[in-house]
Amino acid sequence: MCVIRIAIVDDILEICSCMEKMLANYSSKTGETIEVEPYTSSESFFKALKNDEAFDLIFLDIEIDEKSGIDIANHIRNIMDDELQQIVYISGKMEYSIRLHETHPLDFIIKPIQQNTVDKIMNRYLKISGRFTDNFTYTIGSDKFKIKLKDILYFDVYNHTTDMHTKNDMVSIHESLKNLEKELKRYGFIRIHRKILVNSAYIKEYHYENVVLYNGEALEIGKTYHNDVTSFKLDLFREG
Amino acid sequence: MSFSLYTIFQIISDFFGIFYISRFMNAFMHYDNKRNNDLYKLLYMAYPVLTVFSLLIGNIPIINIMVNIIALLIISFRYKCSFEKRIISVGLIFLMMLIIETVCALMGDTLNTSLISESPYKKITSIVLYNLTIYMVSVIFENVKISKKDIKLPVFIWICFISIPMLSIASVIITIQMNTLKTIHISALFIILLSINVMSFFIYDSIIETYEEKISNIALKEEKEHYRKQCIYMQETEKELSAFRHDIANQISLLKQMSIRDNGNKIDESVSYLEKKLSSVVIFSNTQNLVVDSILNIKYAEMKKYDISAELQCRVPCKLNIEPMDLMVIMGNILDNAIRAAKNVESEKFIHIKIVFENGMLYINIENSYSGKLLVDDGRFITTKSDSSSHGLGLQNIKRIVRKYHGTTKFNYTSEVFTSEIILYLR
Repeated sequence: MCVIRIAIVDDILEICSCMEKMLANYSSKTGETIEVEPYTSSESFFKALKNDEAFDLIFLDIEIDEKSGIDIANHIRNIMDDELQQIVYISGKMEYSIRLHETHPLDFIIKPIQQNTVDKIMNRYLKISGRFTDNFTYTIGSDKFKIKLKDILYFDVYNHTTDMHTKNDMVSIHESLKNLEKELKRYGFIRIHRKILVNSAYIKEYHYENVVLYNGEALEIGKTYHNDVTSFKLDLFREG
Repeated sequence: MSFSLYTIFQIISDFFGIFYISRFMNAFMHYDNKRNNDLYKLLYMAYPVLTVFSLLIGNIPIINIMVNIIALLIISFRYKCSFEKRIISVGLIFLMMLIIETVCALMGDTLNTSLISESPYKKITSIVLYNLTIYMVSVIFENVKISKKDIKLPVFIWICFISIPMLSIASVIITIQMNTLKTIHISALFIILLSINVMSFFIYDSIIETYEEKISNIALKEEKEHYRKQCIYMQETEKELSAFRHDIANQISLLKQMSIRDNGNKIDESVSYLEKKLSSVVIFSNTQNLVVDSILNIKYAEMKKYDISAELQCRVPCKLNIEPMDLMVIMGNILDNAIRAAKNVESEKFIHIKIVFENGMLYINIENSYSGKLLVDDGRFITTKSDSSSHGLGLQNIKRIVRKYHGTTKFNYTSEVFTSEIILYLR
């Protein structure tokens, strides 16, 4: 059981301590180990990020330090190029700008925050967190290799070989897409084409004909897979 | 009366009529309109029963004709359709039977003088020829797709259409009286008359189809225009309200500053009162997405009117890549349905709305309480609303829009809660 590292970035101290309490409640209810770090200014959080502090989940106040919450998020997504740290925005009003949306937060909650909202978000996070910590093992020849699931973008079949595409590399492995699909389905890998299996954590946009990944690559959706893709996303929406 | 071979053939032919008449009826009055009660199948027996009866009482031509028409009419009641269509179909079927019978009688005449010398078989040949030909024609007709539409045309047009078979029947009767024409000419004339009638029936069907399309287009255009006006109205209202709220909020904060400085308790009191008043104007949806806010706030007012408790979970940016009208039509219709269902519940009345935009897809989920009465027909929900035609149009509109965005609709229900889900691809 691994630790979930959570950062709470809000300039109002009461909110930070309130959140810590609610997360502690959640932790005792479910037995998950949670480490919480509060930050009351964007500067202090930026410093932490620069010191390579990594978090799994960040509760970020949009209005912190005169609306620099969005700058923090942009820094994480665009400059650090990290799509996997989950962000939950806290705001005083329902207004949700397009710029916020482009940072792909896990959720968006409005003050005052209730315990059950926190519980729901934590449950959602847990559902998708397996993808970030678990490993994928594969063999090439007689050697066994291990790679973190979160580093795999997608698998595709080219000339009868299955290629595993990671952030910087491509590895050919001997595994059928069907078996891979069965094994990785619960981590959110989805079969969008007879020849393509994608890690849905990396999907930036869903279109009817294709999906676009965060690195800009567009992967085609096969004709018979349209319904599967829609159902997959539908289930994701239902849980959220 | 002598029971010759010929008479037997006539009786057989009368019973055979069940087959080609049923095919003709299927073709003209539509297979779908069949009343499936087995009792209705007995109606077919009307034809052989009546025609054999007419045969036995002397085979008088005029009685034969009447009996045929009456029998056809009786059989036609197996199908559901308008009076006009029934008359037209019966008339056409009878006309076809008459013409083909006459043609075959004449053919039989010609054939027999060259091939078969014995006269008793002359008439039998005609009967057989007749039955085969008419059965073939009926099969052809049944396999040709004839439009299902059955709507009212202007009376003048209908009179024109009914006149064609009637005048044709008159022509046939007149022609038969003339003895100076050659067989081949008479046969040609009859076949031409037949073709004209067949073509007029196709024209009739095509006109009905065009008419119905025209009417449904007008109805859809009207509804679209209605929505467009509502759309504009809602957005204007929301803009005004938004500006108004903003204005009042500013005034209040100004006043508050003044009251603190002047230490005027009275001013402070009235400011606090105004503040409370402002916050009690509950703004249900304030996402700054004008389309979403306007439709939700207007429907929220209606929900409050019926004491329905509403909850909103919303995560949409202020601009969505969907045509405002499309979003308004979808949400307007679904919320209308939800309100209509929830307001009649005795216990808990609620509507939970969830609208989320993520990864280029828009998800709308509306849960509402309902009184548990759902009618399902062929896997589709039947409305309990009395004005079912306009309700149908609403669902039609939703379907059309969801298809436009390559989306899906899903409905689920428990005994107390009805859930509607719509997911769309934007961009």
